[in-house]
Amino acid sequence: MFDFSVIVKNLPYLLSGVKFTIALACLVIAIGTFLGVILGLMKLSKNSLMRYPAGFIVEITRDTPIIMQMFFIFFGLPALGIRLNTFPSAALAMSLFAAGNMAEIVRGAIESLPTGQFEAAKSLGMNYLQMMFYVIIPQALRRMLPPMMGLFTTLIKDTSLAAIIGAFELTRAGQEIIERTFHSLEIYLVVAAFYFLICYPLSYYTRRIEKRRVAGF
Amino acid sequence: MNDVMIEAKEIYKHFGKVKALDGVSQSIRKGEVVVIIGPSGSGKSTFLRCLNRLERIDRGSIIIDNIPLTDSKTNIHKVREEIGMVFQQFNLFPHLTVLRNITLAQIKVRKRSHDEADRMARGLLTKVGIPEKADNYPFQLSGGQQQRVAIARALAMQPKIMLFDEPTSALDPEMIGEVLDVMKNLAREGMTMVVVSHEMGFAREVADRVIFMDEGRIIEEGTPDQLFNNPREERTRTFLSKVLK
Repeated sequence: MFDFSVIVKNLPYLLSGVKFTIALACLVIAIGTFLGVILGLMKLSKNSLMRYPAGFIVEITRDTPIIMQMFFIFFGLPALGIRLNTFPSAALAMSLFAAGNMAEIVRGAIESLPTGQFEAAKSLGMNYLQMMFYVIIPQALRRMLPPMMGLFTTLIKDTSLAAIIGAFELTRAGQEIIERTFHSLEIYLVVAAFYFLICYPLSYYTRRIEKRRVAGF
Repeated sequence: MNDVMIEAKEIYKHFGKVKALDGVSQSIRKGEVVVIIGPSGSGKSTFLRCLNRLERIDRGSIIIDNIPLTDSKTNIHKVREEIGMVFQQFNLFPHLTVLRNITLAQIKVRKRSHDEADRMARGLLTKVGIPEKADNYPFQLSGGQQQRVAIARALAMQPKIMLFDEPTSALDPEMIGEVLDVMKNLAREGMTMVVVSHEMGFAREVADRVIFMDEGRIIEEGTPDQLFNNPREERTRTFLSKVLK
């Protein structure tokens, strides 16, 4: 019935899948956070030339399924002469999705700060960047951390969608093994366990900092 | 030499349909202490906030120390370095210690060294009477202490003008005195001050001039003695009779 030897035999292959999953997740989190902060700040701008394009990108990426974005980039863009491999396609699509969601987290956290903080910084002669860098973002970061961790957990799990366009990562690795061995039960169980092992520490840490936030200011 | 520090001419400002400032003109000399009083919604805070462009005016002109605020070529950050502001809600930076609250803008905006900024900050904390709180965080301080830190933070920039927007309105009664004392000292040292306040005692004692505003206009102004003892306008009398009980 339950065959442990299949797991043992295929562990190295699954682990190489884990490596790609982690690589994809890190890439998506890094690019998504960077772009998301910029988009979030643009959405807060008084200048409509900044605000509208950012709003457009954020809405598109948040209100369409990631899988559609992946299909669009991997299957759709070649029609325009832009050809990306499976892994870069998945990374790009997920980064945009991450950026759109990150932008809303950044915007929400900054908007939740009292206006007095902005005014105090301005009245001391700080320019926009000084105000953001030394006064606003350090405070917003505390409020951003819990939803950010939530987003990162979602992103890690959703890297599994990359398997659908054939990018190699953990889920794809599992599927390939199952195609060879037909041991769906054992392999999917191990695949799921790996996702759990990656995500659980993040969720746990998020709850910890949420508790600490109640105690702090 | 021109000793006019603040020159506001015919300024208008509205929020939506509400006229906040309806043609306010005022000229304030160097070293003068001006207290603005008036009912809530009279435009006194708005007027104050226009002086460092926290609010942009719709019409009119404001000249601060010979620099026109309304000129698009004016670097507003430079002007604000010279104008300290103290808020009703203190607005200390909660993520920084008291010392860092006072040194931040000195270092980043005035480009002072850390040592220099530290020395200035500790000196000012002594001046406002709480040198021992340097390494505390704002939330560990009482309201009165926080407001004194906020004053020290503004003074650390060595501004030419200090604006006070109802600095004691959010304080418990027993803490109002300690903040007013700091302001009185500052006035004696010759700082140019514009103070929006409900503290009539403070106005009587330190103001060179008291301005009464209502419905976005300056109704009456004069020395504390003139305004409190012999108000010319009916509206001033009505207001004073309410606040002086």
